[in-house]
Amino acid sequence: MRRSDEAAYREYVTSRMEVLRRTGYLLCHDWHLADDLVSITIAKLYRHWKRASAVEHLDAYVRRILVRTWLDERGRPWRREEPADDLPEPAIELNSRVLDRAQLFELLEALPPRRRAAVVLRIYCDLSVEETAAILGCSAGTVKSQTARGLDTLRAQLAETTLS
Amino acid sequence: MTKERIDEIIGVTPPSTVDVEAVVARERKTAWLRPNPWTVTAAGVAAVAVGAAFMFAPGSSGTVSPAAPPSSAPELPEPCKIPVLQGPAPPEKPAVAAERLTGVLTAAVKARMVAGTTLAPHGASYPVGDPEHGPLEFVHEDSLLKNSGSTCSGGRNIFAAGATTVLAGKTGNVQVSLGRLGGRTLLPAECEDQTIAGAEETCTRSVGPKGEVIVASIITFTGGGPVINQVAVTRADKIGVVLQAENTADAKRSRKPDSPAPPLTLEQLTEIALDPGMTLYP
Repeated sequence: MRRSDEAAYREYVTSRMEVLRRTGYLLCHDWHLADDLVSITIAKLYRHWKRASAVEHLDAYVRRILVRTWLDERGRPWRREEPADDLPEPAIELNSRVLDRAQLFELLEALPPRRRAAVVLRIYCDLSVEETAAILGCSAGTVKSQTARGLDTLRAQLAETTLS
Repeated sequence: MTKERIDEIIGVTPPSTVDVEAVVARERKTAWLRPNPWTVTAAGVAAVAVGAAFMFAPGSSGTVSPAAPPSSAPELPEPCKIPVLQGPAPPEKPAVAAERLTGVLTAAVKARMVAGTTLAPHGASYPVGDPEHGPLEFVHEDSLLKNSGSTCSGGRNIFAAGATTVLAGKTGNVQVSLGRLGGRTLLPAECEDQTIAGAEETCTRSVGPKGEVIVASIITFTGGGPVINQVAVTRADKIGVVLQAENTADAKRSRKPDSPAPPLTLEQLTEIALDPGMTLYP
């Protein structure tokens, strides 16, 4: 990589570090794993920097790497999530001001990986259906259904909580 | 639920354990394992380099497959939209061309090396599963362009060769790639700021007697690392030739020089590239 490119790469990575870590954390709910995901992501970005830096939406390109890295990592035996011995605490309303971190992640972790990714990309990253579809490598219709099912699951949990 | 609300819920992020400098250092090293004087003209696979950077398909014999993409990073659109090969189809069959080129190159190199220098096989220049080629024996890479939707692979058509040089027990190497311009490969027309991180480079551009464009570089790795003499010649007949000479048998692995200087100078490498026989149109 050219030295000038390397400087641009450093500047970009540094400026996006916080949001990348937070996005990774939302996906995996583990800061150590989130940092691993970000490290892998920026390493891949380094290798592809010359052409990546020329794309119109670099942030979307990098988010795509991050999400795919997370989905890949989930397939590794040592990364698989173990079922908990205890049932999670009852969830509460998603929009509630008293929603805390543990509750947010209980809601997210109830979703299958790709559905969770769709929800994170649509809600946290504020991406359009089309942008989310591009990152997940699926159709816009699939994103709509994944997001809708994800939100349905969350609503169902909320309903259970309300009834209990 | 908004991004701001989620950020509020997440709270303060703990200190980062992401070491950007370590990532850069590691990737620099990896990049050095894939040095490439050829310029990839389309997004897709890592291009084949002079020497050891290409991989052969397991079990293949004489047919080279390009190195696999180094990661699962997404590819950019239209990865297989690449320029057509320049010049007419070569008149020789590849095997015939490879044999002829081997003779031309061997004679040209031997005529210019310091007396007493011997040539030995250089496995790193050849397929991982098929390294048993004689010194400076050309192999032909001809891989079909494959578009699998979002990714592209293959589409290379070059001849490559290499040899270890030995003089008084000290080793070096010579590596060569040759092919029609266009497709996945173009040669630099100018000196560009493409220095490998961790190395210093001096580059000169000149024009040969028949209008050939000659970009000659000396790449010196800092910290007592090896030296690479490299010339990239765009011949008048639209054939590109890249030659490298290193002052160690395999700089990509040892990272330390073995000989005081590469076995061939830039001038000698240029002479070889301009040899009338170093073409696919003899």
